[in-house]
Amino acid sequence: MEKSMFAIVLSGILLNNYALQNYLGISALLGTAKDAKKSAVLGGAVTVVMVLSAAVCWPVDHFVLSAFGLEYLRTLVFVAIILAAAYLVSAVVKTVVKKPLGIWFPLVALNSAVLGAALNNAAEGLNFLQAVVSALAAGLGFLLAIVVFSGVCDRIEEQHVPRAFRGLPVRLMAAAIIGLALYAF
Amino acid sequence: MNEKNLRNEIAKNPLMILLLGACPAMGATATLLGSVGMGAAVLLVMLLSGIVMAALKNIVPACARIPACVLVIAGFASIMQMLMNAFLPEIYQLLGVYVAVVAVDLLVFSAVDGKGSVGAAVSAAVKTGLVFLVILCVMGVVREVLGSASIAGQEIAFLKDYRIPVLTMAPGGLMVYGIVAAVVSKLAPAGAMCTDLACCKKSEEVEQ
Repeated sequence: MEKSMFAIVLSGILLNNYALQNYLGISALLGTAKDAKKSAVLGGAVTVVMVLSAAVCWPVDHFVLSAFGLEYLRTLVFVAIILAAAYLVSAVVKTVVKKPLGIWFPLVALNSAVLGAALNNAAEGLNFLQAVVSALAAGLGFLLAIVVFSGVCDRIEEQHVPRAFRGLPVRLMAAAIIGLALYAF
Repeated sequence: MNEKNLRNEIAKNPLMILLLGACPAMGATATLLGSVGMGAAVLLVMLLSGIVMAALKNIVPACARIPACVLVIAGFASIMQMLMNAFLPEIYQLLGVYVAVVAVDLLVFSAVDGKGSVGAAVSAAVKTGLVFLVILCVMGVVREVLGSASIAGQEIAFLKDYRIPVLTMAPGGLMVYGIVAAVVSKLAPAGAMCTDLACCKKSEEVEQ
């Protein structure tokens, strides 16, 4: 079944948003600061790692793992590739922006959205271009979710929230409502 | 363990404070069976990789600890995935991609630091893993009973007309998780749980 590029992009960003519809990468989403700018940097880093790792994972999967019937090693190999990509991106960030990723490094390297994207691409049998485009779309979807979410969190007036719901629980509720809104598409 | 200790332990679980491991947690809790499977898988992966990393403590240099940790966890997660596929295919089908995602679970990663002794690693893994399992089961029961009017696959006839389908979908999972987190924060002894995310971040930075 040939999927059109448009369908891949639209489903990656909105319909099948990894963070809000599939929980993938939700820890990174909920753990970020209220500052939209910082969140955008994190989202951007995740997007770049996603595209990079998709571009490496596809040939590795196609020419090595599938060719020799080693599909069961996908998780392990993909995790190693993503780790390498994350180190590369964090080194680039360190030299270019002069600010290390620091505490965010695990949120990028151990992001379930990145692994989920690589595994889904492999399971769906997309071709190289489709795999990279769908990873890009998934990353942009994550970026969208994280920026929208940090904006929403910024507007939550903590004083008006019941004590038990302050902090994490109210953020979860906010994320649930954003997720519901996406069902409208 | 007395009651206060237990409350403290639940409130200190990383799933409740920092949302670590939230992804597999919510992906698995649409049904009770899935929650039990996921909880057990995470517990085992955490225990085994904790033991291995603690045993390798003196061999792995400090700079290579993070990648070594990630690869050990991913290895055990892959083994778990294969075992589940072979012996518990129904649960494997239910969990789908979330079993693989345990490989990059920050909850496991935070419990497996590879700094302490083997004994400390075992006790940390068992404590965190058991609390995680219990929380998952609570969420699983709520979501399955109210969302699809069944429990562990058995239908509950009288609830059938009153089920709330949204609970089985992604937003429902987030809502139930939020309510469980609120209940935990209400029951927690004062000061055991930081409700403010900034203070958690700070304590983590100090550790690093």
